[in-house]
Amino acid sequence: MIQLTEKEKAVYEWQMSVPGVGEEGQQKLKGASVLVSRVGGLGSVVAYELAAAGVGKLVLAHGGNVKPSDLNRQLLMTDDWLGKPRVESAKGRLLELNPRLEIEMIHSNINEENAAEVVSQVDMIVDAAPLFQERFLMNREAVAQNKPLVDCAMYELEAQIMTILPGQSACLSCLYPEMPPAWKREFPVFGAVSGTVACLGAMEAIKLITGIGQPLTNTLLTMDLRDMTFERISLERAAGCKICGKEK
Amino acid sequence: MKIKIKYTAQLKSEAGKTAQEYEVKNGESITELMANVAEQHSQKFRTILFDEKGQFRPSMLIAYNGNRISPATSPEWKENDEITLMSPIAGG
Repeated sequence: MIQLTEKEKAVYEWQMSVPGVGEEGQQKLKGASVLVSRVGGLGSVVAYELAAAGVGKLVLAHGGNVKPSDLNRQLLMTDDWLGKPRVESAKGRLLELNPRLEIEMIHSNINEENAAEVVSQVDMIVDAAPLFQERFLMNREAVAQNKPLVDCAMYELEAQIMTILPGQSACLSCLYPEMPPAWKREFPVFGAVSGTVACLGAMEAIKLITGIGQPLTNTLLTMDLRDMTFERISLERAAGCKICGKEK
Repeated sequence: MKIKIKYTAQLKSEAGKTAQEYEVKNGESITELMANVAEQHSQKFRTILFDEKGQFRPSMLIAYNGNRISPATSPEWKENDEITLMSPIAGG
């Protein structure tokens, strides 16, 4: 087990006193690696919370440069970084918070060419991508490589989250067996909505790494912040799922 | 008997409301219910639920009293049951 420095013990003192965490839990966080893709409205806050919690290594995948329309929700992007690569802005902000963090930057989004290799570098994935093509690739690789995946999504003032433990719980393709045609790349949303579900996603990752609590498996937690309605939808693995189907 | 149908995301936007009451018949399947409901809404609402051949889109999520359910199912309806129709959403 990786040892904590005296500085780290001081930084993480408050969370190490959470029942079930302790020094051993913090060592698990330090030894963990997480892919966050992308680091937009959702992924920025996921990465920030994981960096704050002392996760040892983050792999950040996000192509393109910072645009003005990113700045209402992508909290790792800054006005002075407009026109420059998003992952570099993200890395800079994260290291300001936690200089002990190891960060690997992927200057592109997850795609068919890089999905398997990127997923192979980490212990788990937080899916914060806006396109179902990317989400299905991460789901496929999570199942193939038996790595947990936390799936976060948002729209307008609504959001949802589920955690996938391959072979044990419903995967993304169990929910969506085909590409949803109605989903559009650009959609209405506030940063406070993405930040809300992103904090929940980071908490799921922290729970999985440290072993505390119960992960949100076989459950879709939905929320509508317009009237603060939170609901849990019970799910089951789909026997005929082309990615994790039991008959495979 | 009266049940409640709730909408999320793009379906909610197209319906212009978060929920509506619906008079369901004994033995009515989820697919029949959705076809009947779709008739009350816009063409765009219908195309979110059904493809050009009139087939229900498998990427739609449906919950019956908080549990995911297959569209082919005919629940044993009770007064105040809830159906939730959920449009797929992603991140960003």
